[in-house]
Amino acid sequence: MHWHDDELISEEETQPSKKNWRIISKLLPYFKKYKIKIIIASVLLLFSTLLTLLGPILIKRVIDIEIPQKNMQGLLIIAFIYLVVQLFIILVRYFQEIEIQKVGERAIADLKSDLFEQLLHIPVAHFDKNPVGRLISRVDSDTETLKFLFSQTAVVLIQNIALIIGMSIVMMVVNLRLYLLILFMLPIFLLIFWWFERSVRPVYLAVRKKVAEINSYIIETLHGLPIVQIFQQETNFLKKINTLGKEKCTVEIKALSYWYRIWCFVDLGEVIGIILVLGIGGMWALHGAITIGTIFLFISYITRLFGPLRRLSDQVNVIERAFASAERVFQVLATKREGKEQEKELVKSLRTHITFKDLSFYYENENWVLENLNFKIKKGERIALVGETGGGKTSIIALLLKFYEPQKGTILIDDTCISKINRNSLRAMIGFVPQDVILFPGSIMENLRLFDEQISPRKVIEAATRACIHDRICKLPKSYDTNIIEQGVNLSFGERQLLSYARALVFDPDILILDEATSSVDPESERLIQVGMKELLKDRTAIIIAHRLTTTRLADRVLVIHKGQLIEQGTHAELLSAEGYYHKLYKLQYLSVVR
Amino acid sequence: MKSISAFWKKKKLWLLFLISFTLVKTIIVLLFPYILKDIIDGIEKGFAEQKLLHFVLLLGVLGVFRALFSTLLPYSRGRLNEIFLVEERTSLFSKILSKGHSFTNRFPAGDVLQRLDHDLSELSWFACSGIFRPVVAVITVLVALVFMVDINLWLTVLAVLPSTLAIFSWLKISPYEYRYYHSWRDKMAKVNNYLQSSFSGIKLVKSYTMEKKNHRQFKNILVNRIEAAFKVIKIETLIHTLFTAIEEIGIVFILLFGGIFIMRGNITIGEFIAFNAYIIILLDPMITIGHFFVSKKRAEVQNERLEEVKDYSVDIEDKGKVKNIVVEDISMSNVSFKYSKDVPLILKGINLRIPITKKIGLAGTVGSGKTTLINILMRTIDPTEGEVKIGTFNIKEISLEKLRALYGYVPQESSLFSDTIGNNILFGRKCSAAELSRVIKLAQLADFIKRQPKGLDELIGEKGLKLSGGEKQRIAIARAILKKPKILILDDATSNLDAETERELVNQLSATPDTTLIIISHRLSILSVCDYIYTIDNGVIVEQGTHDALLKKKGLYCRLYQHQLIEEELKK
Ligand SMILES: Nc1ncnc2c1ncn2[C@@H]1O[C@H](COP(=O)(O)OP(=O)(O)OP(=O)(O)O)[C@@H](O)[C@H]1O
Ligand SMILES: Nc1ncnc2c1ncn2[C@@H]1O[C@H](COP(=O)(O)OP(=O)(O)OP(=O)(O)O)[C@@H](O)[C@H]1O
Ligand SMILES: [Mg+2]
Ligand SMILES: [Mg+2]
Repeated sequence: MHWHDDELISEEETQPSKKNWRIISKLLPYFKKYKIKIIIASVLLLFSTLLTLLGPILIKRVIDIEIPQKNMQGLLIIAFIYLVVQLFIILVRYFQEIEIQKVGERAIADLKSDLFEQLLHIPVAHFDKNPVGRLISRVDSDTETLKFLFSQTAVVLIQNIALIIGMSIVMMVVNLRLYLLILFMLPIFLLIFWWFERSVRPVYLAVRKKVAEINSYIIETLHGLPIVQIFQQETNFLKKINTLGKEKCTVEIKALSYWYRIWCFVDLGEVIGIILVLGIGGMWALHGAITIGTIFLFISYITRLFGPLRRLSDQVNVIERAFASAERVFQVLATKREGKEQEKELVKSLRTHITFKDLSFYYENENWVLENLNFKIKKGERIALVGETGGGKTSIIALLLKFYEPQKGTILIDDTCISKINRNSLRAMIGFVPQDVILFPGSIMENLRLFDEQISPRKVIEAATRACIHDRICKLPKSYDTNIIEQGVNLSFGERQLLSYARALVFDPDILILDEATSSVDPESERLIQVGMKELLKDRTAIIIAHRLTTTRLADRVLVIHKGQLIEQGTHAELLSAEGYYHKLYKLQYLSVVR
Repeated sequence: MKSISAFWKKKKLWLLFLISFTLVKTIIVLLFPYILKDIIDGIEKGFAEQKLLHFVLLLGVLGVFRALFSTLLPYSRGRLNEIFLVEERTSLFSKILSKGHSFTNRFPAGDVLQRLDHDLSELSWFACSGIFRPVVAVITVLVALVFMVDINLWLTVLAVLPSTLAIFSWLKISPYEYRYYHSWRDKMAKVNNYLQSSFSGIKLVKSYTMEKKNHRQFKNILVNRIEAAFKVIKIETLIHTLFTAIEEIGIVFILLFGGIFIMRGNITIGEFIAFNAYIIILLDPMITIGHFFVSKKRAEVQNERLEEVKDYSVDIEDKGKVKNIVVEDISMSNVSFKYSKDVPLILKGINLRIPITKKIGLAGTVGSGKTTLINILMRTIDPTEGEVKIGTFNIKEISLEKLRALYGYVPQESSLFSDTIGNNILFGRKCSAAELSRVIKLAQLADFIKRQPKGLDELIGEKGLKLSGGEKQRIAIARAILKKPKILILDDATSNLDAETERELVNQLSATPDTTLIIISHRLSILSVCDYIYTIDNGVIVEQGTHDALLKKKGLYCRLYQHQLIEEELKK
């Protein structure tokens, strides 16, 4: 599958940015709410981590003092202290770990919710360019990776910093010379980490990109499954998913190889540390400069330092993965929303007319879809838009709903330009039945009232009756509680259209827009609907798009849109006598039948 | 977990490599404290500097090997995880590709995605890394025990004794773990589904200003998910903590009894220190083994969720053996159908004949069962009763591949893929440029494609959302024609075309002499090109005949037809 790369939600950005700190600083606000919990947990973490330093000190004492002195009582006391300290640590850790993870879970849920809200508010044009699967992976899996950054990586980081500082102090006190000996390893490590960080980021971005691609492909295939089967394309689809999978596998393995290269250095570091302590420290010990207990202490500290790092061994790519994800997540959050609206004018209902003035529009590449449209719709008027397919009828509606902004000209509601009108108040005034039926998972009732519990079932039933779908719904085993599966696959196509139409009626809009709302409805039902509509549309404005001229017969005025231009307008009778495009359509649809 | 064992059966060499090198690596790791012991005891006794350096050198050499192995092994495991992931995804996908309508009814797309993404990637971590971690751990424990027993049997027993507790406590906790994890996964799928539907329906969300409400709903779903996650967090931390505690008690035992043993002269200080090192080395494997049970339970859940998808009924069994069929008249006798057990029949005792090369029309009210009938014909669903025959063969006897090859189908709803216009028309088939342009002309697409800046290479967006309704339908028609089917089915496929384009298209299609054409339409004027028309109402064929004959009958067909005429027309 191919996708445009939207400049704002781009997958292509595999350039590593040096913005780690910026990313973290953007992430921080999500944790602010849980400041107190985090502080308590961190203090507990620091405390328990520092306490673990006590263990080797106690054992050193046993080796250096109690054993040579054969002090049984002292041994017992130290063993007891050790036990108490360790149990205490474990208890503290238990609560701290749970708290940290809970906070992580909560904060990420907040982030998810923000992301979702953001995506609901970005312009529709982004949805043209980004497959749903890609957007889902932004909200779902990308944020999930960030959770790990907090609840695992951050913990290990704090732990290790505390360990390094604490150990340094203890080691310095116990034996400064030996400590300085191993200290010189530190800069080498920092250097290696820096190199790693730089080289691996693009690889992880590439991994995330592939994941999103695979997910989009899966979703799309699932939606088109019957078609794939009937056209016997199973092998091709299988091949494609296999290729995508292999591509992902390759980048993933590349990332792994980076990771394990650094891992090798870490392991070597530990060995070098131990060898230094044993070799040089052992030499000193032979000369009596230090005790065996000291050597023990140093060695066990070194192993303890590398321990937590090692535990992450199979999954630590988390950090890099998380930064790659974070970049994508914040890219979405930084995307410009549909314009700010608060200060704009609110509209309640149409007072006089809608004016389309010099309207020109293209979606992309200056491929003009509408050119210089001029017309007025009076309040209470019923307008039909007809014309060649691809002529631009749906696009006109999209502009009226402020899904897109026209490049030239404007649309005026009464005398206010819609760019100055509050978007939501404008949309609330309009009942829109889109050309493609959209249904949500949920019951029929929920779909009709769009999950708004305040709308009474009676009102819904009334609307359904008007739309000629009430009887059909009642025939279903669970009637209005029937669940709609996956955009309505358990209903016939015509039934879905009728539901979509009924929904618009439930909301009792001031302006009703029907975009091919009854194109797959049989003529008898359509006639019944029209009877209901006539009564409903009193004092209401309606824009009806249809190819079937029977659908448009209700209209007071017909506008013929051809290749983005208004070529004819007038009443049905006027247009017929004009013998233009409308007349031709009419003849084709009716006269030729009579033969 | 069949998939995992099958994977390893194929990768025996890798298995051998991993196990043997794991063994070598473990021994190297465990030699460390042993040498440490000798060094410490040497220092204690004050041996020659020369000897100390030898020992340290030996340690260094072992260290290099240790570093090498302990990166090479996890790397290979990680690699295998990925390979497993690819293979398993492909195999699952191939299973999904054969599923029928009941699968779609049962699993929303978001749910399936969740399984193929999260569940599968975690399962594949388990398939290799997850399984090998405890293997490494067990080997470590066993080899360490050998070394430890070699030093002192009683101290070993004392150090290991508390671990038995771990097994006991595990048995008590594990059922909860399993349950919580399951419910957490389900909640995750809910989130995914919700995202899926909101983003797909974004235009509706916006035009009905549902943004706030949707955001609220989403938050609620998230809250449910968080609650489920908390339970998992609590129980997993508990398990983890228990194992650590038990191990720490082991260390205390060593400290205490080890100290006593030294004082009594049973062991040396070097041995004591080595013991300490061993028990710390053992800590990790113990946690790993403990964690293995957690991850195994999880993997079981994941596996179960994947198998559920994999093993779900395909609806249609491809058992037919007949491969070379001559297309003859198609007939349905006494066909009835319902979508599931507890719902009423959708089709009731349908009998019809579709003579070869004839043009057949299907008319009827909304929801009368036309699309269902077509699906039975193409065998995407099997009738509950009755049979469908092509010539003398029941279609169940014909291999699915051959049967489906007969049909070209234009579905009622948009069914395009996010690819270029050209690829959507070709849809995996190859054909000559001349043929392609013939098809494009036939589908009335030539003008439209000429207008596109990139022509056939223009991208159309998800489900073709960058196209107008009529453009989508025409591309779908082109796709079906290009297949050169023996039987072409148009299911309300011209509903979004203007009369001019529609008329042109239908006239051309009905002029192909050797194709059987089945047209479903609510625009009855189109059906006048058909040789024979069936009218369906409520799952029953109520009328049949030619267009003219049906009009004369003054039944449902005539009524529908008359509704379509504009008043003036009626007056004439
Ligand atoms: N999101 C989009 N991005 C780019 N081009 C688009 C987009 N939507 C529509 N178009 C193009 O704009 C033109 C007008 O489309 P529109 O949907 O307005 O036609 P229409 O009059 O509604 O046709 P129909 O009757 O077939 O529905 C078409 O050529 C179409 O390909
Ligand atoms: N997957 C399904 N599961 C359960 N019921 C279904 C399913 N698909 C369709 N139905 C029901 O079966 C009946 C017949 O549907 P069908 O799609 O065959 O009607 P149709 O004649 O094609 O109607 P239309 O003209 O609206 O396309 C409808 O009442 C519908 O609700
Ligand atoms: Mg349109
Ligand atoms: Mg249908």
